[in-house]
Amino acid sequence: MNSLNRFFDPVYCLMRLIVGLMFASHGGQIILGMFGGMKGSGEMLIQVAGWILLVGGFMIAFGLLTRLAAFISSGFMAVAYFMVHAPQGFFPIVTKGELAVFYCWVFLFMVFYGPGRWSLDALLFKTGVFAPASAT
Amino acid sequence: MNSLNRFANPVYCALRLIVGLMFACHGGQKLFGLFGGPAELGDPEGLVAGIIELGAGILVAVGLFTRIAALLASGEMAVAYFEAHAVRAFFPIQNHGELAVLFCWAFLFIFFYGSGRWSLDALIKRKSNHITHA
Repeated sequence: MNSLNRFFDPVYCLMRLIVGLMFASHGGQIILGMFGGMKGSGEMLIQVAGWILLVGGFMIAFGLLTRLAAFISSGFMAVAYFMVHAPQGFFPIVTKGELAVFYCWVFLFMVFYGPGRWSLDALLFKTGVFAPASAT
Repeated sequence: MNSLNRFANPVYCALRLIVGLMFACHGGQKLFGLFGGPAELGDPEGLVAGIIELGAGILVAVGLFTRIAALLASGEMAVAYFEAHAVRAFFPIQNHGELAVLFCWAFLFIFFYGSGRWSLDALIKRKSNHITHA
């Protein structure tokens, strides 16, 4: 089934786009008051979080400085998980922290994997891209 | 920064593990009523969803038949999104379908990317190659 690997670059690009934009929409909720806004968005901590969500999300979506943006976003999601969700229980499904865990790990993977071939990074910096390491 | 790519495989393995186990948790909730959720055994759609979530989640987590399991899981999440969430609003943040979207795309990526080097699939393949070469 290795012929599937030919298509994983566009799929990776689409995943980055969708995940980044969904991440950014949380920022839009806090900073711009979109999607009905969010309670307590006046607080300093929430404001900082909102800017990370908004800017980091867009940078990941379009693949600009992907590794840096993904690293900051991933760390931020880890903090969010341990601050808000982890005290409520062990399993993410119980603490409702599944989204935070998900974003954290997907972004961590992006830090190590890089922007991929279909990204602004690849367009601007012509960096070498990582070859797939598939086994099946 | 390309030296980071050396570690992409173990991180991919960890991602697969976490995502797969979280997905399997939903299956456990639907089939056995774990994690405070009511079991949905009466409803055939819930039963099928639960079996896919538990089975495919564990298979993706350990990396066994990764591509087939990921394709099933991705498809199931797409159906779930369009059936339960998309009808409510356009943006995932408003229709509460974010998790379904994330699962769907992550599994689609896993389907195309493969099981990676750190997985049961890779282990089995290596062993069979070893036998045929010997």
